[in-house]
Amino acid sequence: MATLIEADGGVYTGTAVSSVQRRPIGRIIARRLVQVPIVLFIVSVLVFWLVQVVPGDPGRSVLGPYATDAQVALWKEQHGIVGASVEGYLTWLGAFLRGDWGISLLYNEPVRPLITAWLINSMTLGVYAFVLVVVFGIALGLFQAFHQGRRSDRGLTIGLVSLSAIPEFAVGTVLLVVFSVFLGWFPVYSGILPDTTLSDRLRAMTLPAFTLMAASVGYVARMVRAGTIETLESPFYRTAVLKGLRERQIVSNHVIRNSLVPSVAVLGGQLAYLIGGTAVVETLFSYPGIGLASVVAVQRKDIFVLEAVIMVTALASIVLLLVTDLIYMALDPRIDISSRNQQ
Amino acid sequence: MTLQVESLSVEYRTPRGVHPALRELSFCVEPGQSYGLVGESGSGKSTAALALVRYLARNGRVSRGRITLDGTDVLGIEGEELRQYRAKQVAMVYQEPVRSLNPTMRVGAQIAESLGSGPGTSSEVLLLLERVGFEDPGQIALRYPHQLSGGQAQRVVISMALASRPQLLILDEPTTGLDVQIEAAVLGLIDELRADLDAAVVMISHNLPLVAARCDRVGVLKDGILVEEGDAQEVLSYPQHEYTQELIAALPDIDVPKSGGSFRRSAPVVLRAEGVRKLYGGNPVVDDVDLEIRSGEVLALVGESGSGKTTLGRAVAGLTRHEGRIDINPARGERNPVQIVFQNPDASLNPKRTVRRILQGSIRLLGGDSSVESLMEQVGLDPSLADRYARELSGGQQQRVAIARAFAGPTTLVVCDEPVSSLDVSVQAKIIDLLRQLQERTGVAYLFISHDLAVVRALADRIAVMRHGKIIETGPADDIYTAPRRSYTKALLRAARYQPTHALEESFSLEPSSIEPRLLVAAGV
Amino acid sequence: MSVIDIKLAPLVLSKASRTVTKPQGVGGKLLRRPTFVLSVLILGFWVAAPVVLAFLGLDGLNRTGGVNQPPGGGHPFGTDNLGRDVFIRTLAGAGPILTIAPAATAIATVVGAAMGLAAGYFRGIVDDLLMRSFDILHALPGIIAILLVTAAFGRSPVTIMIAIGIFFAPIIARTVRSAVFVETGKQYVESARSQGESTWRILFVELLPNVAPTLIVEATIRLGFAVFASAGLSFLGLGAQPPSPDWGLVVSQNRIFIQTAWWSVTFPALAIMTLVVAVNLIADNLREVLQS
Repeated sequence: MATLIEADGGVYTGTAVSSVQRRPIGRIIARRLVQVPIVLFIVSVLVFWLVQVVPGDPGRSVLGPYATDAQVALWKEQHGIVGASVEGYLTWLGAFLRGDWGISLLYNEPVRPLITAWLINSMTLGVYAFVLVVVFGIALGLFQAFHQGRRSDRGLTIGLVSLSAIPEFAVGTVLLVVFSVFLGWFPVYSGILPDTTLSDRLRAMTLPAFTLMAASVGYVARMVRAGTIETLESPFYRTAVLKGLRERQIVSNHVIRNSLVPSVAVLGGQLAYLIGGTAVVETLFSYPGIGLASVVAVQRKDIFVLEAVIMVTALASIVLLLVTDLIYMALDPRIDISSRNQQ
Repeated sequence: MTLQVESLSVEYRTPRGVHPALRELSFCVEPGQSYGLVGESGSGKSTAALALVRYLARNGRVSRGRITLDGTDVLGIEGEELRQYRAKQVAMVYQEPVRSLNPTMRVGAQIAESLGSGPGTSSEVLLLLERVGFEDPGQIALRYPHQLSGGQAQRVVISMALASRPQLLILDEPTTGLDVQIEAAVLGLIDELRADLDAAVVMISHNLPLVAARCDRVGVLKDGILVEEGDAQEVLSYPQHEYTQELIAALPDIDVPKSGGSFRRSAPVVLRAEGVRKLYGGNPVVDDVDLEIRSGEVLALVGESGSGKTTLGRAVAGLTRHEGRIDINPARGERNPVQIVFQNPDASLNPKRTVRRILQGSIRLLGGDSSVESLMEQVGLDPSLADRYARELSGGQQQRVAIARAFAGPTTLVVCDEPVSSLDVSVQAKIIDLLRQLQERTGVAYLFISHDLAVVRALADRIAVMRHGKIIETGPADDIYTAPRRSYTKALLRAARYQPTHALEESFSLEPSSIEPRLLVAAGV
Repeated sequence: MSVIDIKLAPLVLSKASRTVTKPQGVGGKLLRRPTFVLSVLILGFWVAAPVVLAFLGLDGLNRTGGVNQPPGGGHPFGTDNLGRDVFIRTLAGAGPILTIAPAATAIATVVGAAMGLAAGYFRGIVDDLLMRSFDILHALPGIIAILLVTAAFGRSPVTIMIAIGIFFAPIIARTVRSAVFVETGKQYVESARSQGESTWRILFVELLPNVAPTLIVEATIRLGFAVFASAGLSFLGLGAQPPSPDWGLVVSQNRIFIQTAWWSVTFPALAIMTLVVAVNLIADNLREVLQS
């Protein structure tokens, strides 16, 4: 496919061929790849600076009030804690890039393996929730589109938007009270240990996953609905119907792909959110993921953990958004990512 | 195989009650014949087309009447029968060809769908593409719709319509939005195919002369009622109904030159443009243009979409950056020497402001001394409309407000960018007349941009023909209309006179292969 | 019944049936919508409840009954682990959220509208800066970033307002920017420009009224999310501090008693749901009326 588009791109690099200009895909990817380190760099500066500004001296809080200033200073030096200076930033960044993410002040263990374990837990939960979001989002969106303007459609729209704005702890609390306290189907705490069986893990993750789904499904359903309605009202849908095609052919060749393409962008954003920003849900359910860890790290000023957590989640979400855009582009031959942000 | 429409009435349910769109429409088309349904926007002509293919909007309903095609009771069939009718008996060509094709499917596959599945489909697709004039069908079949120009897409749609060898071919404004030569080519192609297929053809259009030149019979629709019907040439030459007479009287006459006018050849130059260039994405849209307009002169800048005429107009009005020089010499030291009137009056008026506030603002900015009311009277607007919002006015009234804004104070040059092309024919003539009167009264100069040589005939002192970003011919209006030098200008004149052009005329071959791609792009081919 | 009914053509009103409606008062249109009226009443209830309670001298901070009593008797929602009345505390709990969320939304709206107008109108570098700052905020894990900011600059309500406001501003800016793009594509802006109108007047007199409906709707939606964010912060312990009856704080404090005193967490959770749903219904109705 790439060669065909390149061939066309060669002939039609002009303005009037269509409303959408095309550029070689390679250049688009290159441009985006250049942006990744720039964004990451700015994030790293922000993070480093903010973490340093957080009040309280980590050395003092670990060693206690009876340690001498010299002891605190020595401890900090041993743990590689430097001040909010350019040199400090460069030292930290250099070590970070080499894979030396420091020692957790709270657990007294190297940060990297800790983060890896949390991240795996969060990603498992995130993927579980994401599958729910995709399934329910597409089903609800399609249902709404085919019932456009009716009471069921409007009710679902309002319900889903509201659901996405209700704080996760409120939804989660109600789910906990109903399904764990009264019905007893799921555990009240979702702690996971290395020897927890798979079925217990699934049981532990189900309520958190549904809580996360409640917040995310509305966006996806809305996009699916809008995409489907746009397709059903489009001239090309009319063409397909007036060609006398069979229903099955119309839906599979003309409706599905055109309706779902716009949702891909939202899905990517949701996946990024689900695997990175679930602090509230993980805290509510005591689920040992990266969100819970970061809350604890902020509260206890575990600075190396905090820095690494934010850098890793930022990287993950940037990469996910990039991948989403590429999938988007592959699905829709018209999309030119480089101009999507500008228009 | 006759198409027969009898007493067809269609109505739409709207929040404000039932709106009748068609009342008792009856007509009949024999195989091999073509029938033109003509009307302005809102006349019900598109509703008629949609009823023929049973694709009325959900709130639309046939309240009366019968449609029969070759014995099939079109309004009575459902389900599989309806599908078969759409697949085999009827085909439609649409107004927006690019949007009528599935954007995520290669055009070859879309044509194949029309053929139904079966052995040898792909070679049939290529034959069809060849039939509609593509020299490289294999390459076209692999393209996506957005990689086609409007003309190419329309030929793809036509090839899909051909695939089923339909008995009834419906053309819904098939050339609106296409450039004149492409329009001629597409219409020529349809003519050939009609003879080939021996199909009944129904053509829907707002353009009476165009339809009259192409169809055997025409019907004129107004507010859902067929007010006149008859032999195409007869209706055009001897219209019986008052409305048809009005429509024809409103058509600009390309053979009646400008009368009067105060322009003197020795008047001082108010606009001098030298070497104006504007690039979009590395391609020159305006390419090294020189231009001069004298005080009180009307210069018509004529060209097709993509020729760069609008960009040049915007550059003159100071709305876009450009290379080269544009010097304006205010005739009487005006503060604001260049004004612009846009094509789409709806968008050019702020919807959140009343007519009064819009005009007050302009009078303040242009240093005018007239009141809002007198300004409105000057452009033929009832001053009682002053406290309406722009969106509450009709298209013609909106354009009058936009014109009033340009004349709110002393000015030297008014750029008129296709000021009538989004209006109905009956309104166009009145706006042109208004612009002529205002120009004579105030003595401003016009840079009048248009794609239609007929429209500017009554106004222009001088014509500049633009193509591919360059001005290729310029001269006094009379010379251009009577003795054009360039073959391109001749083609534009032929199109403006609705003289048939052969589908694939030598100098305007539609195929990209032989011409430099950049030029094709600029031409929109 | 098949979900997909292909035979029905979609609802497309022909141009013919589009007639110009006489504009009615926006207020009148809104008041004729039952969901809007109901939502305003709910919102009004939550605004009034803490004020009335304070006026009555009830702050929900003191022990008034037995520990962890189930609903019933003198305590319709039961009592919590310190014997405080859950009903009173739930009513009083609207206070902190309804101070922080609207203030944060106001900050975000003012900053965002200014950024969006500037980026949409001037484009170029201004626009690039906005979009890149949006990218960066997008890359940061939302609530953790706000958490970090509040940890760094103190947990005062003002810090939280500003943090949420700054975090939401680019989102509002992006919406405004797109609306400005649509509007500047219309020639009334160019027309004003070509007649020599000042940039200031074009931005605030020509453009802003046309962007206002979008801005109002977006601000209302953001208000819902500001409730979301500020409640989330207090749930994580970075907002109100004990013994405040703030809903998020109450839920997190009583989380460990969920099996013995489910009422102490359920009612604040339900309360915040009614508030958020009301705000969203208001936003939805505004969108229907202002943007149709």
